[in-house]
Amino acid sequence: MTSVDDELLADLRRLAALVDPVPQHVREAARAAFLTRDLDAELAELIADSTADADFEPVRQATDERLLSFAADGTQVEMTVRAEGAGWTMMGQVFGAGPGTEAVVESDGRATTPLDLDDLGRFLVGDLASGPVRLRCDLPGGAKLVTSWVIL
Amino acid sequence: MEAPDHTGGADLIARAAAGDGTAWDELTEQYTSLLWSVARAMRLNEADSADAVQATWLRLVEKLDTIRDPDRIAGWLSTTIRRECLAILRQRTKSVPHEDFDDLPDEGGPGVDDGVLRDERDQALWRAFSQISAQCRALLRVLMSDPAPTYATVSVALEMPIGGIGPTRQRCLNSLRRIMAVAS
Repeated sequence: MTSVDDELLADLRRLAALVDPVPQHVREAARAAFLTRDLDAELAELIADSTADADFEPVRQATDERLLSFAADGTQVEMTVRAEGAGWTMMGQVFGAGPGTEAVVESDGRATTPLDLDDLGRFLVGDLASGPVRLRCDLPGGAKLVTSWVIL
Repeated sequence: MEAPDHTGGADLIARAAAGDGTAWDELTEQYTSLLWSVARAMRLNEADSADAVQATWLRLVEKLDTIRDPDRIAGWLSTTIRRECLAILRQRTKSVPHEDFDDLPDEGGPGVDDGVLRDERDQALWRAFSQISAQCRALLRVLMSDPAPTYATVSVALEMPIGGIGPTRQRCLNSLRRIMAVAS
């Protein structure tokens, strides 16, 4: 490595800041991400994603749907998402939640869309905008559950 | 000479985990350029890059309390942004294996024609940058992060052996100089 190389790279770094800077809205979204922190809810982690798992490949290619599974202690969330019109449709089921569970879809911490869960915990919601979403559930016993983020 | 590791990453993580929003803001100040550079190096367009960067920060918020090795936060962020970018690329292109992302159509990265660069040498340099190999562009784009990333971070972000970064960097900068010499 030479100092000449360092200088050239410093020039490139300067140009990147001019030609391809981090957009202001990206910096703002980075700061605002902190507001999505939720210490009360248990995180249901993503355990399967058809866009990442080769096992799901034939299904995905046949239907163009993305299948996602999330698991927390005693609760599991399964969902499929697909592009429909200008937005996204999400359908799925919350297992182990019990009747009386209240659920919403959160879009990067600001907008929320309430879900109607049927007796089996199934739900269907349309017209979700592209971007990060997660499912939040208030369980009957007072426990709270939130899935990890999915980028639509 | 390699830039030193960003300092205070572990401290910022600890403070953010304790609820300190200022520490979080500092974290994002320190690493958003790195994340953006990795996404751009992986040839995501601006909108997809924005999504990938945001997704990475949202995931860090989820994991704040469980980051096992806060000293390696740059590595954690690099791994995560890489994964987010690959997920977005897979969705966009259906089933392009990630080894082949160099073959993706170029999203028309920023050029020199939009008048941002006035200086002729700057224009020539950026034009030359767009003409080097895809591997070189990816490496140099990540190295353009501000502050400069460590080789350990670059290695994680591009899944490149750490020992290969210095020699590849040299080769890429030489090829950049050759293109500029021919053009002038």
